[in-house]
Amino acid sequence: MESLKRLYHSLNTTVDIKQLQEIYLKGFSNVRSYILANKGTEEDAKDIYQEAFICYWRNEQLGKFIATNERSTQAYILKIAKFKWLDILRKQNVNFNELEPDNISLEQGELLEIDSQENRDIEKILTAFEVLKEPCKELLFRFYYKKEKLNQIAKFFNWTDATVKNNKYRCLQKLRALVIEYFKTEKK
Amino acid sequence: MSWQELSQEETERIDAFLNQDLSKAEQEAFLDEVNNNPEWAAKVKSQKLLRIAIQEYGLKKSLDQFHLETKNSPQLPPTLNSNGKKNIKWFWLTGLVAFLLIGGFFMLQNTNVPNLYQQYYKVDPGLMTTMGESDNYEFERGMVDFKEQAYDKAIQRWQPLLQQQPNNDTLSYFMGIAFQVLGKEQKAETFLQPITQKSNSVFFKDANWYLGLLKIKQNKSKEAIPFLQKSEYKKSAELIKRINDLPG
Repeated sequence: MESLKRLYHSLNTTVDIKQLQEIYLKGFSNVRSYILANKGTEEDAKDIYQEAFICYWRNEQLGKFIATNERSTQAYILKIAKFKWLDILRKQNVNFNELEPDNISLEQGELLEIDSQENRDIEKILTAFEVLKEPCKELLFRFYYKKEKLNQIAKFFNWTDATVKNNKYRCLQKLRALVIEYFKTEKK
Repeated sequence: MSWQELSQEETERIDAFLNQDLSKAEQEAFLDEVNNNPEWAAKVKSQKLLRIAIQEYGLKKSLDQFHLETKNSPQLPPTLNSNGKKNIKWFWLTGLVAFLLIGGFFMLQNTNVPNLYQQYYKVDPGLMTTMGESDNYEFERGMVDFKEQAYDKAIQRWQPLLQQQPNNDTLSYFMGIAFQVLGKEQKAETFLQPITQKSNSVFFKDANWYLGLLKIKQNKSKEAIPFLQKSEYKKSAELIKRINDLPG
């Protein structure tokens, strides 16, 4: 039942690139201020923010985070960024008393579901996608990320719409086969 | 989680559901099946995870480009860290030094040609790319390189595109601008010149401005004047006056 609920929620998530760019632009300032105020550099701020942004997006896609409005999204990203930054500082044995007071504890990482089986599965798929050959990679990237229509992709590759449809399926099969291979290797 | 083969029909049905292309009734039937058939639920989940990973791959590729835009964002305050006071002091000090340097520069400047070029030349900031709307991914990747000041890389990406689209003004213009930054003036001129002949091009005024500046750099200041005039840039009248005031 839980997975069904999540599946249902994930239908209304942010996948439009322009919308994502807007969220990214609005949220950076807060995370940057926090990192810079707590012993970080500009480079740290960028890295942590990007990690937090991906984490937020992934959790939203998985139905683990449900945005109620723009503020809730920004607050969630900031929370993840704080958690990730505190985790880094902890590993560097930084004295937490020197930091600005904050209301997030490292234990809250679990609540943010940063580490879960689904996340580990996605990491494996990402590795498989990295090694997927062209034109499969470009085709799937255009279809699933850029949301291009079959006829747009057909124009790009100089194929027919039917070829795009069939190739898309074949490419997914190749990706699936790579993922299955990764899972088998893991079990050994 | 079990990873099974999916038929083409199954894949398309799941994609249609996740893209919200199903009717209300089809959507409900789909959700019912997910609820009552664990095998189907696992298939749906595996397809969903594949899609998330592919989208995330794309998103990761776009983040640096998103980040470039934060530098132009008015929401970004000046750097303040735990040594905030020190930074503010440095901020003012740097400002003061810059003020003195600029002031000194203008007081001491003479009107020789290289100075004119340096004073008026500022590289075109490039286009805002969206990494999603355009169907020309390679052009946008090049634009990201351009904005990161990796002009050589941008040229390498755009060169093959130009062979396919030799009359593309956007490509020609930014190739010209990139070569100009790299100091390859003749090449820059080859790309900018044709656009200065096309009054309907969106880059007509800009190409005229940058070609005019190139002429100044090449010590052909008088030849620069018609281009600067056509650029209609605010500063062009002032620059033309200064060219006319040059000795000889």
